[in-house]
Amino acid sequence: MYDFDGHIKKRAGEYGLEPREQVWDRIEQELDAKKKKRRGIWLWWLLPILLVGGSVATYNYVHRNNVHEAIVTNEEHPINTTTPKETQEKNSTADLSSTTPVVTESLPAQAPLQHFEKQPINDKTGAGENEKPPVKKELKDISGEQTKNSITTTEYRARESIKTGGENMVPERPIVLLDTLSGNIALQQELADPDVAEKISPEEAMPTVALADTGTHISSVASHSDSLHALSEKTFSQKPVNKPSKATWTFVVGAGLHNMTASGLGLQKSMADYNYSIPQNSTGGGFGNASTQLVPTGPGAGFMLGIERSQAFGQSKRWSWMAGLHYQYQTMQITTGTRVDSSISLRTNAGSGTKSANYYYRGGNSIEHTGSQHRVHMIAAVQLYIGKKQKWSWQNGFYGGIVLANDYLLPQSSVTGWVPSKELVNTGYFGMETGIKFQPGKIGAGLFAQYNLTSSINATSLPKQYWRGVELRINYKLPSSSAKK
Amino acid sequence: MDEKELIKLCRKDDRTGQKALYKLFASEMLGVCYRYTKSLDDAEDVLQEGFVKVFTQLGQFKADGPLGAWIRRIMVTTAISYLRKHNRYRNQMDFEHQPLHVVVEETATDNLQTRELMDLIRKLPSGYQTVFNLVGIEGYDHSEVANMLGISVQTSRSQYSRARSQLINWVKESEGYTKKTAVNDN
Repeated sequence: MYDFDGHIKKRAGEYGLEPREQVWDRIEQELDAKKKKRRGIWLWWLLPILLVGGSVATYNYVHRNNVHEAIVTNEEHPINTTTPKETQEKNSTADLSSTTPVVTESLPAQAPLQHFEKQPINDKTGAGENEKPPVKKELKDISGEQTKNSITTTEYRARESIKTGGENMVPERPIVLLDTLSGNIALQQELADPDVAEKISPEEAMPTVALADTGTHISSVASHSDSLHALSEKTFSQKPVNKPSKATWTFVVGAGLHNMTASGLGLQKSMADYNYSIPQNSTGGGFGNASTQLVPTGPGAGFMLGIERSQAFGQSKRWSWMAGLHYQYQTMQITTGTRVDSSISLRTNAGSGTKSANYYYRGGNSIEHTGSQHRVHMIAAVQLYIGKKQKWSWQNGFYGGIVLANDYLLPQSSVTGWVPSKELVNTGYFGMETGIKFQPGKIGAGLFAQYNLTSSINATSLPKQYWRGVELRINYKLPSSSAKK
Repeated sequence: MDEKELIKLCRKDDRTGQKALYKLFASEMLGVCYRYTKSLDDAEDVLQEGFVKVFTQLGQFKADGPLGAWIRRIMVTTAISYLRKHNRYRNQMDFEHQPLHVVVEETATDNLQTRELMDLIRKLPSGYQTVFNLVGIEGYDHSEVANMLGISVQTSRSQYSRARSQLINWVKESEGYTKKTAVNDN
């Protein structure tokens, strides 16, 4: 039996055709375009990476500065005070290693201070059976004389209005300590020795001058190290300023740019291409006509509205969750094209042998359209507050939603078939977003990047289309219920 | 420059290497593409798409077989995808019933030039042409073809069988016509 299949296979293996030069040029162009697109993809990833990097850097920077800015809360701390007599007795046995309190002798009504505003010293004592002698403090004049027994107060350049109602208390207003507590205690102990104190210059005794220059109000807690020890570490905490410890509602409005992307689409070549050829000994004949639709896409502007609810995770001062409902209206630039391929092939048996000719025409058009989508989605995110005042936060989350309506052009099967897709079966979508928010008060703003992970257009034979976008949002935070009280 | 060096260059996105690889296989691959399409322009479109895929996916090529075979597979899948995408091919899946098992004279195809034989294959309606190319020339079995084209195995069998019969008829006609022409010319 004759091996028809084998023969055909063998012949097909031998068969080759030399392509035209333009083919390689087109391949080169497409490879270049893909290279650029790959770079573009990196840029999209670069944005969240920059946001993350920036957030971490900001957090580290702010956190480092906070070491010197611990705030004492309004807790009361008893201060062991002594009378001058007791002090003299203790000073006579002063030991550098001891924690003997240092008591100052006299306190000028207005101590001349450098770097700090003047404030009268309130040495009023309380009345009652347990009334103790007033604690006298003397503030050091850096530029002037220094008494031996004014070491501690001058060290801190303190000015204090100590309330002595039965016992001396730390004032109610916040007290700022400079430098680390332990460092100052050690220094105090050393300075408690008058001999040592004499040898130490005012500048040396002021390890915190640099911070004082920043304008921070400084108050001394007490004039001896015992009282400083009494300020245990737990009394130092950062005062929350803007943290949503209570659940809060926020209205959001925003605007941005979204770019629709679709793989495998595009008017990749000139839309006019004409070909004419006369194949040898052709035995065919006929007429053909067909069309191809192409759907490139581009960026478009849009706006959004939303409502969000946020609350801290438990007692966390840094982390909070956010859930919200967003509506987006998004315009899209859409370039549609129709390519028509027409061919006619003729054959004649006139004369010797068969003569045939193929005529082939390729033409087309492309039109710019503006389409739009109405979408609504739920978003769930986690916020990390940055900085002591917690005005800045970094938000990361996922969203999922549906397209409510399309005003979009979709290809139909006919040659001229481009119709709006208002009746298109709407589809769901899913994506993620990241952004930085600044909320100094009720009104704030944020910059967000969205990265859609699924197509938001569902159409047969149409490649998946995703959007990437950036949005600038303005927030209006409603007062929480606790704030109203 | 041998194939291995070419592959190395292409993986580095070297344009000279890519062009050399293209030159090496373009002619053979255009022949493959042409068998699946109806015009040279379409064949070149497929060739273009195929080579772009080759250059972007060359990293996935494991040198456990000839490079030519790998490129050929890419061209075939690209051609099928091209046919699916374009209406003029998609709408040509109907084929009038042809008698099966046509007897062929032993040397019938020998008298036809290769180009003419390939033109006969291209004369088949797209669906039959594709199935015949895949089964008869590329050597895929019917289950693979069914998978690739999204049709049933039975459809693949029947389309191949009918395409083959039609081709044999055309070969016979062409052979007869050639002989007749030769007689007339004399």
